[in-house]
Amino acid sequence: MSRLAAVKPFIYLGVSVALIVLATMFFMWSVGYLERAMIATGLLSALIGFSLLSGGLYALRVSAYVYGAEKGAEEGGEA
Amino acid sequence: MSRIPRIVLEVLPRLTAAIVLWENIDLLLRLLPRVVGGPIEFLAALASLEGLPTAIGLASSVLAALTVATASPMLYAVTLSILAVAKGAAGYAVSPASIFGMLVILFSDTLRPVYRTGQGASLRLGYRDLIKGVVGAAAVLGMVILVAVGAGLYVGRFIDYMVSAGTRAVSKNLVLAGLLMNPVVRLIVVLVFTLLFYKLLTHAFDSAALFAFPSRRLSIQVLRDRSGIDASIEIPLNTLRGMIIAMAVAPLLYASIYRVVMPLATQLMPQLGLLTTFVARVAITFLLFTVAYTVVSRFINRFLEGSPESVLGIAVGVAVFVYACAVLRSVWLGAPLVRALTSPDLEGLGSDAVDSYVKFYALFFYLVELLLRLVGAAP
Repeated sequence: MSRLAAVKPFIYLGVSVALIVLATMFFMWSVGYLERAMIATGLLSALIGFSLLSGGLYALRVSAYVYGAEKGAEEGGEA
Repeated sequence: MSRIPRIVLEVLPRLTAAIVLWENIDLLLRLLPRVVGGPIEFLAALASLEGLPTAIGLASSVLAALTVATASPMLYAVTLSILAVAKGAAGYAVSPASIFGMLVILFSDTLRPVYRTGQGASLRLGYRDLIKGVVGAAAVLGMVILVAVGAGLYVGRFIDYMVSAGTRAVSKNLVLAGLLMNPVVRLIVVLVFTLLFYKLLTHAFDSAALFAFPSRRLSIQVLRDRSGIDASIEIPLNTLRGMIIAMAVAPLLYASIYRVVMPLATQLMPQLGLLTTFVARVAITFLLFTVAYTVVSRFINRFLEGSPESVLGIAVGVAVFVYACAVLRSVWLGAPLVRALTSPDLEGLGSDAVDSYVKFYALFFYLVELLLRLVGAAP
């Protein structure tokens, strides 16, 4: 069980990186759609990009705090 | 090195701010005789439209003088932002030395409350520690500068691309071209990007710092209280979401008014026939869009972030409603009831909906293009 606990922060980190990559892809598609005058599709892609980015940042912070909780405990408590 | 007097920490930021913001202070000094000589005429001259650059220059000069007086990083940042906007409108860019000045001012501002002269004399630092400190500080500063300049270059390139796309699209689509080349739109895009980069970078740096120096107490404390982690990007999200859903909802309102309510109303009051003229229809189109947007943005949080049961209920409700509309349509067209219930005319409903959407948006974009022409963003 402690193996999983040690790996957890990196799982969150992987999820966060995947979400941010997806968000960037959606942002680029949004610019492409806007260029081709498909305004609603472009706006929708931008909206999806923002949502994914927000989720990715959330996952990034969670991974950092979980890592802190695990690693900090090994070093003996208070920092 | 430990005998740096405290006065250095007071003088250095003010000197840096004065050097970076010299032109503004110079402008202030030049304008001062005019203000003192005849304040009323000066204010009147400022209030006119040609006086606007001078007014902005004067505001930034006053801010610059205040920055030099107080050496506050916040004032420095505000002055620099106004300066960047003013200069950007004239076509110049702010010098990169201003970022360096910002770092000096921040540094001094952080040290100033806690530093006492001779405080460093009691420390015995080995050379290794000293070098580690200097290298670490230089690395952090270098990263910050790199990131700021990189983000600025990216946004600049994006804006250039947008403007060139606008000039290319002039022949194809006037509305899009007007939208892309409008200076106000450019400013809004820059602001959105800046906010986005800021949130991205602060979250990334927070997480990186926590990965490098894990702290159990802090982590548990934050994990207990969820609001500390929330990283939602509010402003563009809400506006975009409201506009998209309003765009979907408004034509339905329009269709319901003009197909269902209108024929009944004109039977009762023939004067209402005025509302079917072109001008009135365009005006009502815009009005309905605004109404839909306001209503949607009020209630959208309750709908979308509600519990999963309520969202499922709404989805099922919408599906049932669409099916019922299709059934009604078949019944109106004369089919017997049982046949209408089992195989309703969904295609006809679809083409009706498409028709009303197309008509609504033809009117809407006519209005938008008209507005852009009035404002001068489109030829």
